[in-house]
Amino acid sequence: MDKNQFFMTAEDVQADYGVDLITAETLRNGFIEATRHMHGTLLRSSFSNIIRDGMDFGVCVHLVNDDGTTDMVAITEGCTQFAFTHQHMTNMVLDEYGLENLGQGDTVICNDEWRGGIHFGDLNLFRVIHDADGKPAFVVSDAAHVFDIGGPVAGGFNTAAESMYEEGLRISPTLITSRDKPVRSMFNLLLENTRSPLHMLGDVRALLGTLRAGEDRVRALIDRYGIETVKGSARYALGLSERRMRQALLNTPDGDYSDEIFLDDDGLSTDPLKIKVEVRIRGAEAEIDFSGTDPQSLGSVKTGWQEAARAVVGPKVVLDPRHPMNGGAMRPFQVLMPPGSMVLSLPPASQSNHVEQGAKIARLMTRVMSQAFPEHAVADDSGTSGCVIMGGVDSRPGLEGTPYGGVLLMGGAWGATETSDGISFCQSSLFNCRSMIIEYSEKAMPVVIWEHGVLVDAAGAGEYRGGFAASYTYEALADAFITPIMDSSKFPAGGLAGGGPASMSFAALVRKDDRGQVHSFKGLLPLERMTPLFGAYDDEGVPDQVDGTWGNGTLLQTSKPTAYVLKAGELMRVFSASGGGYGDPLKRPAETVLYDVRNDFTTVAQAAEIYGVKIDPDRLTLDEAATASLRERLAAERGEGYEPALAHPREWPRTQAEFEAMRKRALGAPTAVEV
Amino acid sequence: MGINDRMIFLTPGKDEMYVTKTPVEGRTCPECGSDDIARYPIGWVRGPRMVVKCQRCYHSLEVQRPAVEDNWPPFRAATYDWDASPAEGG
Ligand SMILES: [Zn+2]
Repeated sequence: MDKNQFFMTAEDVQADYGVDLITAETLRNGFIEATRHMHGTLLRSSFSNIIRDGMDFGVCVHLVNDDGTTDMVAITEGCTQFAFTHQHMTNMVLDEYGLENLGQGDTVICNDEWRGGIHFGDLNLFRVIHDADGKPAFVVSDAAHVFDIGGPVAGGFNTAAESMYEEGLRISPTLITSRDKPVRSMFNLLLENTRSPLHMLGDVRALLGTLRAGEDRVRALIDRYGIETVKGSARYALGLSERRMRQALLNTPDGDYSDEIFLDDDGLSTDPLKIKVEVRIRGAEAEIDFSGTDPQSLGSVKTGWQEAARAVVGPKVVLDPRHPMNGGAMRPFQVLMPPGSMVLSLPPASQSNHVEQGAKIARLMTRVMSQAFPEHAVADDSGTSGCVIMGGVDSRPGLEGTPYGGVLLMGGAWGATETSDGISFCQSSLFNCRSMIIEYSEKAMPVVIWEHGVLVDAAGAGEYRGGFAASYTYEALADAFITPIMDSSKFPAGGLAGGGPASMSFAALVRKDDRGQVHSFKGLLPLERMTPLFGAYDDEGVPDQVDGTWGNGTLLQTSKPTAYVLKAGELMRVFSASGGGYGDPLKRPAETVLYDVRNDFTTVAQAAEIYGVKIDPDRLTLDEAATASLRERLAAERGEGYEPALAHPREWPRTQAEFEAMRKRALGAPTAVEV
Repeated sequence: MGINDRMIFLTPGKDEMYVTKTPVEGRTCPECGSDDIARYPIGWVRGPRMVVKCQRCYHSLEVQRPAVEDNWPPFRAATYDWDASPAEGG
């Protein structure tokens, strides 16, 4: 194997792309800079909170090839998946609409999942940039999740949808501006099919303005450097990404790598759903085959064309994580999707709640690529988007009768690696949207967020522990339709190389204490104030994912309910699944475990039981001698195939009095001490 | 072919789903010399394609645009082959 087969010299760049290396690099960054301008424009001008706060969008520049296909030269995403889907979608939409039918100032809109879109809630816009001869040279595209696209459930994510007719408005490629004039009929179609025309108009105008900002930046590059140099540099940017990915594949042993993963259920039945993949790596190419996957479910967690693109997220994360994404990185991959399966459902199937399968695909592909390239292995992440959709009619003074909607993104967690703990409060690598700013959410919607913290002991144990997902408590100020999207309540994030599995998703309704307050400590609340909503509990209502039973005594039998009614004054608490650990927890430095205990990430009990670290519970000091002998004993007691226990809190206080006592005792000890 | 055929589908009823690889006769892999060649539908960087591929070394002999009879991707717009109207830039 030639470790350097795909490397380029400056001479190669000049010969292959007709541009000197310095100019090519300048323009490669120029394209990225153009998308950054687009990013800033959309962020500042959009109306929906999921765009301007959650950053659920992507903005791209594409090169038009001689055969009319396009390649995504640069992308700056808020939500990662667009960095993969827009390569496909731009080709599929322009192939159908006809590049030749689009003149200067024309914009096409589409939201269709079978044409490369993600779900109907995402609007995708495409605008062609012509050269001086009127020939299509570049395309700018953007995509954003608008709050509401119609259908029976405010804000979409209708898990219960059995067909696309229950999902909202499906938009095939349609002109939305003609010579920069808004096409009135299309605007009316959008504005008359949404619950909030104000947000829709604001978001669509923001998307259109963003494309113009992108075109201005690309035209500035063309004016300064000339069209041939700019196009040659675009080919260079794509070629560089392709070469880096091919080199990484070449450095990965040839072989067939496979695994399978399960979604909890489709939200309608309680049956798990299997996604299976085999990745066949040969030289600098890979075939990703989803054969053996379950047939499409009735509920809306399956997808249409998305996985053809999103499957490459795992290889990108493991094989070439640092290089800016563009379409070149996708060239070595061919994706096989059985028609009628979970990964390629057929119309009129609904994909309203596509996100949970997307998160699972990212986890599955990261897992399989980690087998192939263990040096860059990442343990399982949350495997869920871990968010809550909220909508209804406002009743706050001055806003009475105003429809509102948005999303509460509280953040999941990543798995650990060979060199570091998993990232906490961060969504799956597929989404990577921003955790919502609490004040923004409380301004945008009639909601009070009482808690946004971590649940002690939830992260998968390991020499490097997994990341902590959020526990999140919020109160509805007006009756609200709540759609939690919280898969991973049945199957935990797994550890790697001796690391342990992480706590899974669960939820509860919460009652305030006698002072009208909600206090949690280390993410723990008195159980007498919690009513199980979904997840695994024991017979006494204690959240227990080791000995408890999923659905035991819970109000709901799914972690993805649709439009659950939370009445004004009611509180819901959701815990997202955490990330898996990496390596033997007995090798985690005792001082690091002590740091985690002092900062309320780990209890004294878990420190002893899983990490073999003895800590004085009152003074929070390390007993080095006891730790050494405990670690020796735990290592000797391990049987064949030992795996650390599933991470979960062991000390739930039953009553308010127990809770107060626990808090008082802990606050008597030093906390948050620097290591 | 009826208007519905690529727009509305029945729900499949199998236990597990597989991609069908159709054997191709009379071709040899230029990389490894195998005559075990198959043609099948893929998702590729520029969208839906058909690949003609060696099943021993997985070398791609050809990546083709799907023909109508390939039914790939399964969904296709009813108007896919129609001329654009003047209002659509045609
Ligand atoms: Zn071959």
